[in-house]
Amino acid sequence: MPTLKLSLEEGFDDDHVIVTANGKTLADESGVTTRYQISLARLLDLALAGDEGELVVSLPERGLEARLPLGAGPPSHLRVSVTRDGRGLDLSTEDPIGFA
Amino acid sequence: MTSPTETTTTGGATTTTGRGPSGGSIDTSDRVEATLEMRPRRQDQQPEQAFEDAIDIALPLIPLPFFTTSGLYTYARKIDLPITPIPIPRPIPFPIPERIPTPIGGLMPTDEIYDEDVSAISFYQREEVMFDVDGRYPQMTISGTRANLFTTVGHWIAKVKKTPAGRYEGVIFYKNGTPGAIPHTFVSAKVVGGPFPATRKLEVIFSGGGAAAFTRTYGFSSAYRRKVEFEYDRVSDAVAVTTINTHAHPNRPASLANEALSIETVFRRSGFDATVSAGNGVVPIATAGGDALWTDQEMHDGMQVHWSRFANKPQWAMWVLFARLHVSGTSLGGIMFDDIGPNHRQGTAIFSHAFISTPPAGDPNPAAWVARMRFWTAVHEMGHAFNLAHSWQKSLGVPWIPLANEPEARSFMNYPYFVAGGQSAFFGNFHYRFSDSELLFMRHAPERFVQMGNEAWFSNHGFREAAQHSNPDYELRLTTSQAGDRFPYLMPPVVEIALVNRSGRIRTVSSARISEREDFTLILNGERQEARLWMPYMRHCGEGDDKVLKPEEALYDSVIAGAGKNGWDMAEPGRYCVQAVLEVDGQAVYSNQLMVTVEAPRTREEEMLASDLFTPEVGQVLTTNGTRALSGVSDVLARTAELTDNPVSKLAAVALATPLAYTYKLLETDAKAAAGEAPQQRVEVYPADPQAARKLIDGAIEDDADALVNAVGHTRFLRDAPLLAALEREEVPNSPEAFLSFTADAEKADAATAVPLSDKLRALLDTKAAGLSQ
Repeated sequence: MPTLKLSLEEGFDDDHVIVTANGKTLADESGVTTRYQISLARLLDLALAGDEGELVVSLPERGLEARLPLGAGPPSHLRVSVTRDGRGLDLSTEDPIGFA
Repeated sequence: MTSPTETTTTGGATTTTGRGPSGGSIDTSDRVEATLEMRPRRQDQQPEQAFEDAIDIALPLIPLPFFTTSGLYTYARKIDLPITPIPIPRPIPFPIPERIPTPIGGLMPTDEIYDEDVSAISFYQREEVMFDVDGRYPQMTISGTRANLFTTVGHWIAKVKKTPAGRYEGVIFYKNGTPGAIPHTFVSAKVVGGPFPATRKLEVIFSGGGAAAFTRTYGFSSAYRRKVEFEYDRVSDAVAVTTINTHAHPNRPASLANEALSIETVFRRSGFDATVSAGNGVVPIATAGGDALWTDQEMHDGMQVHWSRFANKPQWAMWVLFARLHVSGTSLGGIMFDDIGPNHRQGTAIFSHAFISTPPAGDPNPAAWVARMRFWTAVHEMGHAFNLAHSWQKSLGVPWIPLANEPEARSFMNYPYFVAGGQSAFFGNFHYRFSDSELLFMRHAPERFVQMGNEAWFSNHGFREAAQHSNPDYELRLTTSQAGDRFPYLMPPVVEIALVNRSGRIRTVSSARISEREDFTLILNGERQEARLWMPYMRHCGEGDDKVLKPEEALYDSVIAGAGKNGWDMAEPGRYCVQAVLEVDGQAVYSNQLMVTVEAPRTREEEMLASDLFTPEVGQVLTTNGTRALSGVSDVLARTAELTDNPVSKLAAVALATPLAYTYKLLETDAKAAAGEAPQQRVEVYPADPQAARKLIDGAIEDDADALVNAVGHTRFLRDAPLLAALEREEVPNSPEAFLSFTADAEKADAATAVPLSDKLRALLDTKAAGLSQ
């Protein structure tokens, strides 16, 4: 069963974050807030079934949602940040390497 | 492969980290005992070393041609005891000469220079000047504080240039503290008394700002801004790296000096006399929660118990803990964990076995790579304790002045693996230093912003010199339409904005209204008040369509900078430095620094009107498009519109006329409601009164139509022009929606012809209509 390392990074401020795939909730986190000295709000390991067609990350209280198609299989990392203007989400599957 | 790297570590023992398997942790220690091993202290450090590392290479015995003069200079007013209860009157020369500040400050040939600050609001007891013009990483900056017996009253910063006469001169671009404490706007400094520290002095002439010029002489005090003390403690299962050999790893700048570089030396080169604490203590295993993983709270508790200098107060000292791993796991290389409680930024931690112990596969010297990453992490976390943000976060949070992100900076505050080309590219050009903007902050920002335990983490972090890393493809130009950029009292200054394509090729930019974008920042720095961030009454929603700009074409906007959600930020007479920053293509574009003068009241009517005009409600109505809801505001605007020889009268006339031009709907709520029932709400409809609107506008343009356009701002006039033109033609529709179809830029320009403008202004408006931001 593949594992997805989810890092909720910049722009979060006491947010409610939900990650779903195939209608199943993989993460439901409240009070997500970025700590700017490490550019990170929360790190999570998500267990995937491996057949997910799409990941959906949403901040329902802000009305924000972003989708990541998984055509080539699930990535090992998913990095999520709220955009500078607060009106969208940036998703990246690059390895964040680390925080400091 | 080079030989294994030896790193100076803690506990009086030297830990040698050997080569490990590529891609794996380089340290072979698997010890998990967690007693804390205290560091040998380095207070016995030789003073010669400190001198070499200082931003001033002081030469106490023999002056050489290369001596430097940077450092801290101080002045203390001599007080003869016993202190006389009633201050002895000092002879103040009258009349105090008045002067009109030149655009960049500086002395007029006819200025008199006094030997005392006769304009001071009190006679300050202590003053300091940080002189930063030579030595290591000079910032060509002079800053200073003025203080009474107990507290700092004001702080100022000036960027300077060296004149042929050997003086360092420049405009004071930053002030903080009690309004009026630093009325001057220009400094001119010269070192006197020879090269020896004991006799060296700094003579500074303060001038400008309408205050009497005076000279102050400061004695040399130190090559550093402040003494700072670090206490390094290490958990025994961790590896501490506090000194490295800069040539140990082959990937380095060719020009990098070969030396054993300590953390203290890095901070001495940044302007602080760094020493290592002689404190002592032991952290029991229970503090780590019984395992090798540390939580922030555990580290905070450990800091309170085991840091010999811990106190709930600001102090120039910090605790640095080298531990094995954070409870978050290997992804966290270090953290400035102390954002807990009232005194932030006193404690940092480095996790030696996190990802920073995993060299890239095939690295030519993995041991040196790991040592360097551990050293980088330690200084990086300690930089956070100085309130430095990450290089790509400079514009976030609560920065003080427009900040540019520095995503490619070769600074301790950047992530090596974030830059283009990754960590290899970073270290190939890394000189073990902080960026210039970070050094400017550490050496010259108000002390409370920097000192550990003082300003909250990320508040007032870092500031930067404008335009230092501005996006070169664009110019952000601020101007005004007033002669000499001078505005009469009561008139909120209007700033004209132009984003000009200077790239030499066609560029596409968002056409969204510049002043209402989230990434537009406008700073108002008054000479008698703290700098303020201008806050618009509304923000633009949506990105706007893209607009193609040919070379030298521009996108335009106007902003009434004198009023915003913060209030009337430019109400007081005096000089203001206005500067903006706009992010374009992910890179900040910095504007020029526009010096604006607000004149003193000229009539008693202006003085009497001020308290009624300078309210949030009037400010909002003036800067938007009027109201029919607030009768009190309309009364003030009516009185304002009757002023003569002041453009604010025209601004008031437009604000009064606009809501009269069409049928105005107002949602009203009944004041009284039956018991248990919600108050009734209803929509009141006020019919248009185009005749009254036209009378107001005609009155405003009667003597000088150009003045009306300049008062409301060029682009706002263009947006309102269809309405004004319709009024002139007596074709006013009965709803504002009717104007929505009348939006083409050309139509707006055509509509502007309904107002009798000068040919020069009309030509300018034609240009701006073509590049109007939406």
